[in-house]
Amino acid sequence: MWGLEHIWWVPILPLIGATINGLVGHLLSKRAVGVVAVGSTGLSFLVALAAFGNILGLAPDQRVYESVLFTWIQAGSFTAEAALQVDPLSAVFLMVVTGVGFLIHVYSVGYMGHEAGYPRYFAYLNLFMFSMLLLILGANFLLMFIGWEGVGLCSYLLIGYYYEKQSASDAGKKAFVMNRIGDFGFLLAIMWIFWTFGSIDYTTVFPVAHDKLALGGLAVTGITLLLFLGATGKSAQIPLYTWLPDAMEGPTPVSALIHAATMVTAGVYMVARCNALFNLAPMTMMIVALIGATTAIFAATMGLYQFDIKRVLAYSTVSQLGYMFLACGVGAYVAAVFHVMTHAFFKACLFLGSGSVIHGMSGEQDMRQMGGLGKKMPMTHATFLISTLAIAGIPPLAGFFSKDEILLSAFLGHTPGHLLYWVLATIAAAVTAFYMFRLYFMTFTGELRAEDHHVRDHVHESPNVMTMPLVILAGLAVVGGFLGLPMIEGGHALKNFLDPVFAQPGHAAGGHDVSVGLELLLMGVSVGMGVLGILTARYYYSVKPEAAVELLNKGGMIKSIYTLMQNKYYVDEIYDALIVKPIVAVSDKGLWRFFDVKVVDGLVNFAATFFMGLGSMFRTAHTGLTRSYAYAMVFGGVFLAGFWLFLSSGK
Amino acid sequence: MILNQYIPVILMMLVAAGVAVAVLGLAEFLGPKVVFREKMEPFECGENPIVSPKQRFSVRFYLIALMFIIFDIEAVFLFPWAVNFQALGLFGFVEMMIFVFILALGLAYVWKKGALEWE
Amino acid sequence: MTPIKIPSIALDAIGPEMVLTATAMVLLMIEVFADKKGRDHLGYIALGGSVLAGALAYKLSGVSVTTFGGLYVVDNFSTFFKIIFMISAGLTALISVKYAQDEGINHGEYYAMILFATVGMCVMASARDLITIFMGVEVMSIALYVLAGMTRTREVSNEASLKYFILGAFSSGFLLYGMALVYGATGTTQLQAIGKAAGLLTGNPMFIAGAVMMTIGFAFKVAAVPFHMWTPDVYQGSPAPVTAFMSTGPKAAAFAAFLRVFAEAFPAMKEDWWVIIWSLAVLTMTMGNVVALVQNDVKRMLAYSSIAHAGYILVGLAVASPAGSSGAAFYLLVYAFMNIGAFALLIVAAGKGERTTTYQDFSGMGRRSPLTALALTIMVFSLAGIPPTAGFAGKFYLFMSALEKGFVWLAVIAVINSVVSVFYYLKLVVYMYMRDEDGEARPEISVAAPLAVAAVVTVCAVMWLGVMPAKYIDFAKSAFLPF
Repeated sequence: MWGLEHIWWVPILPLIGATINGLVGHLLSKRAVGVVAVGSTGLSFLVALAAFGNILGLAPDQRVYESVLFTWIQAGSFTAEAALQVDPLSAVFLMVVTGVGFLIHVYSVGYMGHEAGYPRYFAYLNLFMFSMLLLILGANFLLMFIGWEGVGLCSYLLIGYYYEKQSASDAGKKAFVMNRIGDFGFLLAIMWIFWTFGSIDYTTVFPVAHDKLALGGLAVTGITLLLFLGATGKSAQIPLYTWLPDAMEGPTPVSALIHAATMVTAGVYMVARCNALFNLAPMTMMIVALIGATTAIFAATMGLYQFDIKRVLAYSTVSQLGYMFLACGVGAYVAAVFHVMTHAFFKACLFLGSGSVIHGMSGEQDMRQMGGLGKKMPMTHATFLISTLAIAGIPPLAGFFSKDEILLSAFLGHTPGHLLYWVLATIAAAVTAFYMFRLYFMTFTGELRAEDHHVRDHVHESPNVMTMPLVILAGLAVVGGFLGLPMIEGGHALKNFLDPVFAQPGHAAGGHDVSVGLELLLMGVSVGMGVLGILTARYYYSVKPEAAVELLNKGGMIKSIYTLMQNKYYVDEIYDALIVKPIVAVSDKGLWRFFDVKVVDGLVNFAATFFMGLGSMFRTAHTGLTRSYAYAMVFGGVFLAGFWLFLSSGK
Repeated sequence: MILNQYIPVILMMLVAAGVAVAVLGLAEFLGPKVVFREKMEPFECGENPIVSPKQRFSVRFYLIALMFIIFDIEAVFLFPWAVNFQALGLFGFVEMMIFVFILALGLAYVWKKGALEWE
Repeated sequence: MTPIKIPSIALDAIGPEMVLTATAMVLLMIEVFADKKGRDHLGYIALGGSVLAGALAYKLSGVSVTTFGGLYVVDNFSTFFKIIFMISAGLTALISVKYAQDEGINHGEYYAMILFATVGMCVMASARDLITIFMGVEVMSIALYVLAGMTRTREVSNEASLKYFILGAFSSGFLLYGMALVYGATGTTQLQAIGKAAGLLTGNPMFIAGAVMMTIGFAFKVAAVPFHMWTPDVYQGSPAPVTAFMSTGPKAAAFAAFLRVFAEAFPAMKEDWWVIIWSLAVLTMTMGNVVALVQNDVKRMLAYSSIAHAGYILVGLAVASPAGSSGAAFYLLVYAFMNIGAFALLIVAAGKGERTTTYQDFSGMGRRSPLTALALTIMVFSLAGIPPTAGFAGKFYLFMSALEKGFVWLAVIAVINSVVSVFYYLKLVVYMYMRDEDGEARPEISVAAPLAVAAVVTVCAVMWLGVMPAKYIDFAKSAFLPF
């Protein structure tokens, strides 16, 4: 069995795959391209598995392995080594990324079979794997940053994959720009860390953080806020979340891998990795929790309104990421990582399932054209239902355990306002259950609503290469949560595994002191919310769709909206307006439109316009006349001379 | 106050400007003015000017002038070298030969390029 | 009469300069004596001369001598810069081969001028005396004026040459006048002697006036705002390989002289001038980046981006530390590779007569010529400072030197600027990969062998320096100046 010293093969293998497919891919057959891409990822998974086994074999307090490949940059007191680090935290992410990544590669072979630019797609996808693995395995902030930039770049390239579509390349650009804003914060944070600690190695920085930084001091608050700014960009949190729904312009397996299972959780990884710093900054923790909880509810309400199957899932991803940050913000890092893992399983399954649906529907993404697909696509249907139940938090599926742990942590947390966050997150759980089942019922039950006969006749189950990953992921979504058993006693397998990473000096790393009764009560509340959401969705979208018409006949404002919506889509619009009237009013008309379009896009546009305007202004200074250039030099010289004389006379 | 140091400078500038204006003004007012044809003609070494001086010169004049300067400077270097020939010895001799060789290459280049041909 | 005393002369210390001069003269002789076929090899001879000179320069690493009566110094600083110059000159010769034949400028003079300019650059890097510096500046500049106007039939090229000449002469005036004032105040032209005298001269207006004028002269050569006005016009009008050359080698040479003068002659006034250089750096990078945003022409965009890069490099001078000077040196090495690489690919894309250089002309390049597009993407990512390219390593090391000296705001402004720069570099990538061709007829993209070699060399260098920079940063660290 391979030891940990071979860990560097994990990122290198996908890089080799990317290089082969990128440089000579167009000379190879489609089959060979697929073999290279899937094979390199598969091998990488096996090596990662071996590494994971090795880590498990070590004593819990020795589960940190660092492998220095070479000295990367050495300058003055600054050293950055190309070093990889495996510890329980990175090991968990490693398994999720390589495992889910491998399945999605397999799925892509089937899904992308008809696309042009097949080798290009796999080259990007493998390059993404490399960057993501570098991000996770890097032993210092700089390597994490390189991976961070790399995944952003690949995400950008893959979102714009269908570049013939203007919207796709715009979405790619938007993602890149928003990520750059976050990356900028991250880079400043790294510089600040170096300035404070004289090093950027995890093993040097984190152990001394407690001694070097004052609790709640300016430095640690500044560093962590900047880090968190980076995380909001990458993980699509308020206010930098709007790129993620647009990112759905990319191919569906990409949405599953990058924009659901792995890349967007990089922010969570980063916050969890820097827990030693975040623990010292109570104010940042509060902001993290607040943004997490707000994003969770906010994005969930936006999911109510969408008709594009992938956009619903995108908002749901934003919302679930909000849960993870909420967990980080209340100090429950284990719960956050746990949720990253279970979310990767069920969300990847949901995305791949939606891809299978889109594949069967000849590229149609509008749920209003779907319906009754359950009979024609049994495998997709079954796996999708399991995952939907999982995300809704129904026991004993994976989502239940992780979400419940987050809610429990929020309820018991020490962060100011934690009860409010708990309330928000609990409501969001109900909303999530509702819109996910709305999606489920609209897609898989009832009658097929597509008008195009071509599409109607063509509906078919996807090939095995696509359904097998679905089955495996659904299986994981069922059993993945059991890692969190037994949760009632406080500690569980995953927690025991991860605890060394999150142990803080001065704080006992023990479980919550909480009575079993209270825990069961909270569990009951969250399950009850989930069931409530499901039943409401069932009532309006499956049992009694005509209920809306009755409501409609009551006249007033609803009627005027009715006349506005002339065609058959009105039902959905009004259902939404009635069921969550206050929320929709705020989220759609108020927040979604205003906040998304005006504030966030407005800011980005403003920055662009501002610099462009400045540029045009300066550009006019270039008249092309030599004499005006000479004048500029003379004036500059006079200014310089005056400035210098002023400075030297000041002494 | 540091500006005090600049008072002499300002005074100097004022005096200089004043003197210039005064001299020109005095000459204008006091000088006798007798105007006749020969006096108004441009002076060209006693020769009568035959054409307007405001015409273009052939660019070749500049080429010749540039080459003149180059070889002129060569001569400037050669004189002190010749005077100190004994003291500088073999090293000085080789150095100067390299210098002359480089200039000779330059001469070969301009010759071959046709810069020395007038038409 | 006392006989002339021959000062100590170490001829082996000026090996690179002698090789370059000899090669240039050989090129001139080939031009006039060889037949037309002989001219096909001109570019390769120039390349060979640069490589040989570079090897000789590299052999001098570790050597530290002052020769020619203190006028000339060979140390690691000058050696490092000379290697940059040779890389710049050699790569320029390589990317010129096809271009010169296409544009009808395949003359011995063209390559000879590149080599003569390089000799001037070497003198600038090694000079330890004001007069020697000025001589180096003029040898380099006059050759560059000619190079800018090399394509005589193109009007923009003539315009570039004339503008560059007039403004260059103007700035030389500043430089020379400044030197005269400094000499007047200190009584010496020797840099270290000036440094010693300067300690007693703080606040002396004549000395300060001299220092300011010299700053203006150097600021012009490195294209720092507000002395940068010539840059866009000249860079856009000159033949593309010449622009690639001017923006790398001569810029590095100007920085070498700038750094050495400030480190050796003016260290006593550090407290005064760091603010000045600080402001110049901020102005230069901001102005360059902001104006680059609104350009439609890629060549002009690269000209403004070159101004912005000069701003980053000025950071290395503003911090006035050994780490700053070696940071600037390393960045210039990286910049030589990435900018010449970008121009090589621009030449490929622009076709004969440089007709197609707008962003629009790059649309669909990812499909038309995938390898060219990929290489250009790597180059612009490096220019933007995105890891793991060399541009990132260079920026990181440079900005780190600012942080180490406590110049936090300067580092922050520089980082903000590099974020802004991503927008216009990215625009090129967007056009190449995410726009389809607009149907207009464009010349078929064909990559001539020497251009392909240059592109491969620069891509490899940019990647290698990005992934394994440690050894080269070590070399750069040994090439520091004591402030």
